[in-house]
Amino acid sequence: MTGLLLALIAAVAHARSDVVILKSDSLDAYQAPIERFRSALGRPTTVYDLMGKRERADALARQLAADPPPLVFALGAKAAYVAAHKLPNVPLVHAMVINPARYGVGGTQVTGVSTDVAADTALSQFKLFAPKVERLGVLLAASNTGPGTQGALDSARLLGYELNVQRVTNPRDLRAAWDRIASEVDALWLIPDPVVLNPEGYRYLHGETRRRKLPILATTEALVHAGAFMCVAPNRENVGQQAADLAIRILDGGELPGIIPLAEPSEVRVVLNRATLETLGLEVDMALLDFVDEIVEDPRGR
Amino acid sequence: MTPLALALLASRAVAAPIVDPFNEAEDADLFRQEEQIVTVASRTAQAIDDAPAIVTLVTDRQIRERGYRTLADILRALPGVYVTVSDESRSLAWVRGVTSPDNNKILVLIDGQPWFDGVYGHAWIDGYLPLDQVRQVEIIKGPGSAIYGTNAFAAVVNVVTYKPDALQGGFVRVTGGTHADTGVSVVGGGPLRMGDTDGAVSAWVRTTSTEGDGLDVTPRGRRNVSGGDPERGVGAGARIRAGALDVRYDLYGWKHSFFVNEQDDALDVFTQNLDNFWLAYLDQGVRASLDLQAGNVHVVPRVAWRRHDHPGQYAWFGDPVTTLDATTTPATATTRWDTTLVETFKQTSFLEAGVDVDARLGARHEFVGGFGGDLVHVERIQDVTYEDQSHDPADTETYTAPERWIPEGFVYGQDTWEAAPWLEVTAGARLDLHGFYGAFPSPRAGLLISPTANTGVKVLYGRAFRAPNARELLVEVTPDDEGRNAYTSGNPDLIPEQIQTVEAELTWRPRRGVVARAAAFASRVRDTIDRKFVDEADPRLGDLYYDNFGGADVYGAEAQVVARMGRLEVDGSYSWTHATDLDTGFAVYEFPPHMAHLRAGWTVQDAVRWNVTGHYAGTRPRADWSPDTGRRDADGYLLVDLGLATEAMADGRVRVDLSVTNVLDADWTTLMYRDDANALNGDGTPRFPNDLQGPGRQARVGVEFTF
Repeated sequence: MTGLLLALIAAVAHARSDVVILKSDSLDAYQAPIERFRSALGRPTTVYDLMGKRERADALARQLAADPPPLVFALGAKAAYVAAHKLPNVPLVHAMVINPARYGVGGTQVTGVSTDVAADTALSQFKLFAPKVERLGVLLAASNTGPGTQGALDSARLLGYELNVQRVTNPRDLRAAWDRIASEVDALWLIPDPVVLNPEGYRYLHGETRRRKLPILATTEALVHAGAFMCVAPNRENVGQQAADLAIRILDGGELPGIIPLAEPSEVRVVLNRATLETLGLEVDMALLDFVDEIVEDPRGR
Repeated sequence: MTPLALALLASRAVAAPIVDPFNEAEDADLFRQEEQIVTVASRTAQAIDDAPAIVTLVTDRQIRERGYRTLADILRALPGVYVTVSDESRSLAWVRGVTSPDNNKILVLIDGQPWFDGVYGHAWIDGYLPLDQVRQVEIIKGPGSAIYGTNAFAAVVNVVTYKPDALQGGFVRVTGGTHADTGVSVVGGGPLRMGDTDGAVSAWVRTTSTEGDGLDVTPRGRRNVSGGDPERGVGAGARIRAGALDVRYDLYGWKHSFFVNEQDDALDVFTQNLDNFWLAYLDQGVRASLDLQAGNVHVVPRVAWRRHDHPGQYAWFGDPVTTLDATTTPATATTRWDTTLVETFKQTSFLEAGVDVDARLGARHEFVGGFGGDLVHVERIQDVTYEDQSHDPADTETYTAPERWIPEGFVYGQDTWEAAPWLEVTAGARLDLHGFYGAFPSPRAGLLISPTANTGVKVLYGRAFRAPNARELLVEVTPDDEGRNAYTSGNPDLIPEQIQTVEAELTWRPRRGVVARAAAFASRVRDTIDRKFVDEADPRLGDLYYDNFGGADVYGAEAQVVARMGRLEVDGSYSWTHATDLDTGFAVYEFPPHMAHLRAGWTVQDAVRWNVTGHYAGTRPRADWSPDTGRRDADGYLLVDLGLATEAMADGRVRVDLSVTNVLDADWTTLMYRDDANALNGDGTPRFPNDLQGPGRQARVGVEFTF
């Protein structure tokens, strides 16, 4: 029934020359990039909302596979996953997907806008809001030794931070690793890491840092909503613009998506958790809060 | 410029198989941790798992979704807590077999400040205390005197309100429901800059009214309906933070009907519906604190003043007296009832000052401590009696206490040592000094063990006390010609009641969304303060007075499982309590050995949440306590409550919630006062024929407008 309905909708509302915009769920966060993408692209588009449901995604994928669009712009992990795996021959531009490789989102038809912000950009902002922090704690998997990680750590040192890096080989090592550095750091910097950054690990580190009144610099807004002190995230509107630019290169320039590297966010936004700020008792110049793009707080003050 | 993307790519190199995102929660849910930070256990912010106490946290969101209207509703839903009602129509929470007719063996804090009156030390948990401006409620089951001193006997309840810094705007909440239930409250606040000093200000105001089930006689025989009598409430408060200085004022006004549980006919019930049966509370407080920080040390000097003015009025009718006037033709007969009106005055105030310290000592120690003192001013405790509608008092001396200042002092300290990543050790003590009974030490100790990432074990010991209050110490009662006391005489020689508790809790999280808890405890209650009848009247105190005697041995266990499966959440708990009164050897009166709760919550499209909760209280002991009246143990009961709440609608500016209590309209009772259960009239009939009928089905709708 759902499939029939979707087929009907697709037949009536969508000509296959239209670019398909696929969003994972009905989140407000997707709205700004979608609007900017549509206005910048200058082509007809149709938006589909998966509403987080697998059956809806499967039905829609079947319809799109039967009559493929020229390009899919996918927002969120679920949308990107469906597009990459169910429509492997359709060019895909994704955005707002944390760690796309984790979901197998890659290949010759795939490019997108990264969620990751340059380390020195993030740390420069962090220095403004936590000026007394001099010693940063970092927990990483023993195998996470690539040039990217090393470069990020070098950036921190260039900015004057004293780094205390602890390596873990499995999640069970996390507590001992944290214990070794907890008393010797002023803040925790959570770099994406599959061993460290999982729900259980985060819950532990979040509790420990709250107890010790240490701020966490995170890399995603989700973690700030979950209690981390702050993050520097991509500007959402600009993400839409960058995605449109990629789509134009593919559609009009004939470039193969797979050879276009993931675009780094060209504009960033600062997201800060006010409850954490208060709980930790951090001394922040209140005037600086005017420069925060989003202050996470319960509308009633949590 | 090295992008973090490269770091991510590096992590991909070691990443494993492809993950299906449809099998994952959203990132926000994946990492989100419900508000799990509490201050109730140690006066400093701690994760629940790190707190040296068995702590339960209820957030504002849960209050709305589950339809809680009062602290009593919150406490009733906890394993091991039984909520009943006093003869004066006030809610009482009895925790793990520790009972009190005056609700003074639990301590209620408002943002860390003890809030009880000086006469009874009563902890208000009913409509007196609004939940509208509450951010979260933190509850310790077990002793808390090592931090808070008196009354932190069997439980501590910290009511945390919204901070002014956290409010940016506010909301108006309008409620309406059955039994003419109406209420309006406004909460608002936000940043405030004063020259170079940053700050914030907030204010709240509320008014509430309900006619309740009232006292009535219905075909169902409903009488003495408790907890739903006419109630009126007003309240207001303001708080301002300027830099490190925090100043606030709070006012709680509350009035409700007062009934005496000896009503058995329509006339009595009618008279108790008259306006002259009421108790009122006008409580207000001011406090100021200064948060001084130097490195890892916080020093917070504070001063506070609060006053509790509790007037009341009640009356009774004597037996009808018929007189015959033979001087008239025909003779006329007149029937009249003797009336007695009692005005009661209870006025006390507290003046407090102290310093609290929170310091991190090295990497592995956290110290909290402080010292201070207060003066309890017993301004007036007096009953004034009027006979037969006279305006001249007939008696002002039978029940009265002299004006008195009672000095108290305290010093406390506690260290938490992180001995290993999996082991935390806490030890502390508080010493209280009192103008009447002298010194009382309250030690505590705890081991917190985390053998695995998903398992936590707490092993705790604590000693707590309840100091004798002004009613028990000071009230002087004039005996009659036969040396009989009409009321219980105060006794200045009383010492504190004390409790020692050993407890353990195991928390296990076998998988995401599932938490299982098991706990066991054993408590020794000694030097209980209770009413003592003696055949040979004491020359100073008469034949009825307060004294320290007896106690209770209590032990028990509880288990709880909370499981979240997609949009469904199920929370089930069971508690078993074995409580024995040492003076009689009987099971503690009314406290049910078996209680259980089952709650099912369902989230509809993230916007609407339903909760249905069943509360079961098993058979309650009474038969042993009432051999003359021949009463049986009281039957158990099952109550079902419903809560429904929406997330923000209308562009985030409107929220709606509904609560229905006793959905099945079950007949249920709370029991008459223990000492009334075996009382007889002169003709051998029970003097108090009825238990207290619990409220029937009640519904309330709330609408909030955010500004």
